[in-house]
Amino acid sequence: MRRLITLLAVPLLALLAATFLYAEDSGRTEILVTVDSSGPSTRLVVTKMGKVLHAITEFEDHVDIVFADPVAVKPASRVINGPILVGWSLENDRRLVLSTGPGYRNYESFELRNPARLILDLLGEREPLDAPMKIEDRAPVDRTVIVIDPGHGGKERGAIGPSGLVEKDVTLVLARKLRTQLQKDPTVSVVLTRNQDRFVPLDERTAIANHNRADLFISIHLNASRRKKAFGAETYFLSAEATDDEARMLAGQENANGGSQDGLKAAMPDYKERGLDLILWDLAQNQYMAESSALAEAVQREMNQLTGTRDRGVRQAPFRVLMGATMPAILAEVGFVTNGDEERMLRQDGYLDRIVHALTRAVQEFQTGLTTYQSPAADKK
Amino acid sequence: MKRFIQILGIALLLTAGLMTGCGGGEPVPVDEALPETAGELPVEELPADEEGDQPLGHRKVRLYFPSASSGKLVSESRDIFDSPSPGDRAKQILSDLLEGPRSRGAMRALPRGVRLRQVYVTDGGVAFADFSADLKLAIGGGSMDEVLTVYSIVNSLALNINEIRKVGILVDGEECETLSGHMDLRRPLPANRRLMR
Repeated sequence: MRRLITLLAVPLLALLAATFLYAEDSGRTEILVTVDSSGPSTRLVVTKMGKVLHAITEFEDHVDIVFADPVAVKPASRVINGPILVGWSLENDRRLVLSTGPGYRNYESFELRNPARLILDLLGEREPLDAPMKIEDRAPVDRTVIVIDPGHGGKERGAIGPSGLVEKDVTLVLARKLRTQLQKDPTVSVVLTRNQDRFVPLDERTAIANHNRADLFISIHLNASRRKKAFGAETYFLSAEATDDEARMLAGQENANGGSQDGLKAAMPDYKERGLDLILWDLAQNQYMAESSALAEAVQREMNQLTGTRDRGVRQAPFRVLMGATMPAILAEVGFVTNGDEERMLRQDGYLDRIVHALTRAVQEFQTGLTTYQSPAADKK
Repeated sequence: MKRFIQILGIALLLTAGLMTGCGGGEPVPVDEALPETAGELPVEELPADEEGDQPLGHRKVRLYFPSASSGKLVSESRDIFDSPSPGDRAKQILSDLLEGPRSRGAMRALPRGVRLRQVYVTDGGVAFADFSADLKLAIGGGSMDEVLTVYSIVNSLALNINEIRKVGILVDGEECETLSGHMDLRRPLPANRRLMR
């Protein structure tokens, strides 16, 4: 009998000990929460959720993500202090409370798989991208400020031509020449996003323009294509169409209804009130669409004359560097470095001068056109 | 004493047996616990079939490829199975896109060797197409190739599948900032009709 008791006691005791040891970690899924405010929205990403189901509910001053099973997160809360997201905290192992700020308007969520994660884009009014660093030549307020952005730089070489011409070198030469030309007008002040061969992140380039309260932003690039025959210039600007069908639809509706928000709501009675503000404010560039388009047309017209292109023209695409710009902004691809003939021309100082003159004329044409109608860019903030 | 040791030995063996069975093992990694692709777990439920599988009809779609002679997209028609699942149709379309064009007037949209890891469609009408890492490495420098590559994928999905409004592109399962430094891919994109001839 005694033997029997011993036989059973040891495993039972061990089992008991095991349940105590493992009780801490049992049942809760470890999740990770990251916040990124560098993009067009404040993005919150919840990862490692496994199969945990969740539900999102929006309240007046916070958004809840409620999980069906208990979760654990380190740290248990974080203060962000942004205009859209103030902070988040996990309550009762199941409810992730996102405290929203005065700038918050709406959210969009996406669920990705393999690995499972939830992306929550908190949208609304935010501070425009600004550069935290010191800008040496901050322009005086009574001048027209033009920011020129030589594409790529440093470790980012950009495209390379068949005989080795490197994009980042050419864009810098062009930018410096353009600055000289534009500043021949004493009322114009030009700031370069880089004046040496160094890497500058895309958002920082836009931030430099915003920080300097620029009136125009021009990013200079060389194009490249698998099609060796591709040649000539292309000019890009950002429009709502490039990023959101709904925005374009609403913009069209707004014009049709006399431009009032009430008109908009009348046209789309089931549209969420918050959604309207969001779409109309979503992108900083939205306000400058017409002007960016006009600037792009002017540049393309001048470049077409120079390079003899007919078909290629003004294009729209969601280019990162144009996204957060709070002024008319374009990206000018002045030629294809992958085209043997164009590459040869781009090595010639005289040809680069002609490109610069074309761009200068385009800017002057654009500014003349501006004076014929009121534009927000004319108001210095 | 000897007897006691024998019994203790058996007891320890029993303990070892019990321990491996309860909570001492490794948790199942999250990735393996989920189904692989949309083909195996579509977002909406397939209708229950009482009489056995009906053969699927065909549906005509248009695939978009970069033009070989201009900076725009050209289209080629293909036949896919008319599956009730939009994820399944998306998978067929992208597989065909990866194979490349048939006409001389078009070029490959995606570099050779790029794999489709998965594609799925959410309830909100957003498709996520996840490609292998070579997608990023193979596009050299210029914005033209990047723009055409992205919209070959986006247009081929959004213009052929009603349930898809926007398309998000992932590389190696992760969201990317850009593909080769110009296009903003942080949020899903709608089709761009202006690139079509």
